[in-house]
Amino acid sequence: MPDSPSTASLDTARQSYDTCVDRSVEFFRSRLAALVDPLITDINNVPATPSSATDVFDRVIPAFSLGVGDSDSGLYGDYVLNLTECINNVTYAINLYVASVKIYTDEQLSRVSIMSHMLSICMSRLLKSIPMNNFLR
Amino acid sequence: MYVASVKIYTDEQLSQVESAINDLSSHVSQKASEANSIVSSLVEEASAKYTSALTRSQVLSADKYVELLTTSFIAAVKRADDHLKSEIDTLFRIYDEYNALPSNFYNDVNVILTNISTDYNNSLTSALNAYNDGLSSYKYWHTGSSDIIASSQTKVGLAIDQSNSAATALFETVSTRLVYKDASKPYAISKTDYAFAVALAQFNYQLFNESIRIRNQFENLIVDIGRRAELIITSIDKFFKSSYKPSFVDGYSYRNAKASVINGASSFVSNDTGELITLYNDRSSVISNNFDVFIQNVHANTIDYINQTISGFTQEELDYISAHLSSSTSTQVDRVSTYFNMYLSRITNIMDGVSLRLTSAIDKYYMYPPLLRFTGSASSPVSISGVSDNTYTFEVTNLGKVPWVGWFGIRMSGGTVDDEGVEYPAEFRFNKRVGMHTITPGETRMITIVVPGVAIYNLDKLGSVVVSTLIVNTYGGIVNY
Repeated sequence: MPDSPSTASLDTARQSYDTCVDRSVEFFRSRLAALVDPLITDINNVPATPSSATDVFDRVIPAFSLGVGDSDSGLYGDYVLNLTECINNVTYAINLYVASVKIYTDEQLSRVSIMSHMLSICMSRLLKSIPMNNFLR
Repeated sequence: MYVASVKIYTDEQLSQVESAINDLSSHVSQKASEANSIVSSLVEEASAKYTSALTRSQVLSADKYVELLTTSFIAAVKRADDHLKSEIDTLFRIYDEYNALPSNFYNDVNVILTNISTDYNNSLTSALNAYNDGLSSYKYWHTGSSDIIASSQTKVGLAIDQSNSAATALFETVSTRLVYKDASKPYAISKTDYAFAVALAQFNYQLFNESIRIRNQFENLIVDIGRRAELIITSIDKFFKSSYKPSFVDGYSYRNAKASVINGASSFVSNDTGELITLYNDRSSVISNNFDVFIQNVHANTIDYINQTISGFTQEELDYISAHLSSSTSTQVDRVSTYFNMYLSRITNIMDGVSLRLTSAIDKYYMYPPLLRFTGSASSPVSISGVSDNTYTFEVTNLGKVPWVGWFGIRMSGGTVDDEGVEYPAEFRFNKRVGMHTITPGETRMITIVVPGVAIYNLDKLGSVVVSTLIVNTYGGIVNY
């Protein structure tokens, strides 16, 4: 009886994926704080010198929205791209693993094909589910 | 990444592989979902914290700003009062020092009184202008600001009222003090100048009340127009939300749809803002006409008042007072005229705001999202091969302002044709995707898709009915409005 097939590369992919997602979230968190905190400090200083109101309130943003943070993709846009990259990487790793499977019967081939197809659908849905809509205000 | 080959001999081993992949797939979904929740929460918290700070700061700042304006105005009025009293006291002290009045004394007093009166009125005008300018130039009022401004205006009105009463009383004491040394001349300081001083005090008081009334009329008009402008802005948002159809590939359909939406929005925005401008012009014209009538009436009433309370004027003396009042009126009219310019400026700002919203909406829906344009550089197989690779290449540019993320694919499908040329539904379909692409704003990229000939397993039966279709599927940058 042959040994059980190794899933070590999947474990490695899982760990890399977790690290990648955690890093994306932390990066988003730090950039958001770097954006918000100085603005709030400026805003809180206005009542002491109301004549500065127009300068400060003209400069600050009225509310958070998609694209806040820079002129291109914005904080959230960067997060989406980072997360997409994480998902792409793990998908690639899974595909590599599937590609490495040596099969011997048509039935096995069929099951691996279905599995691969289901994985593709799952990842597509996951990418589409990234909630861009939550950040439109 | 190196992956050692996995050999599967039994169904049980295959199940283990399936289980491992399914487990990782579920984990990926779960982890991404958790990350999205965290990020959503972070933005919600930051947004709430930011909005709270902004709202609180704007309320406090507006209240403090009105308080400072009011305090500054009242202090300026007090300085004008003190200066007026000081000048009159000086006049009295000089008068008291004379045992016998110089021959030109009353003429000098005429000039001095006129100067004192003019200085006083100029000081109040200047203070009032600073106050009104301050109110008009401030942009960040809040919902409770109207009450605070009304309260401030009441205080300002009271300060003006008290100051004018005190000034009138002071001018009245001049006539009784300065005639004391010559009872045979009850208006020895110049009856007309005394009357003019009294008239100015009366006139200024009435003009102030009218200017406040005009200001309130303009404020109400601005609030009305501001509300209507808000409706236009809401209409812009609704129009784009209902009319916009997500599309990320440049072309005839995209441009037609874009032109239709933008032209539709521009048309009703132009009509609606035009109506608001007409409304403002009509109402401000009424206010202007009413003010002209007011000036004429208050002028005539003041002359009547003087004639009744200080009787015995000749027509020449009344003309003299009237000419002085006309001169003063011209200055006051110029001051009130600044309201028209100030509020016209605010109307312009409101209209600019509507226009900006339209521009922002166009940017948001048509400039900001990713947009692919095929450059025209492309090639496809001359004929579909059932043996060798079928290679498709095409070049695209992202015209949007955010990265385009998605995949391209070729769908090949074919049916069969009988001897009479009747085409039957597709019995062959094959999709080829080339994985996820991220195309940054402004980037041009050549895409290649290769469909292996062996995939078209029954080409010989399909003949020329095989059709290739390019698929563009956008993920990143999709904005579901």
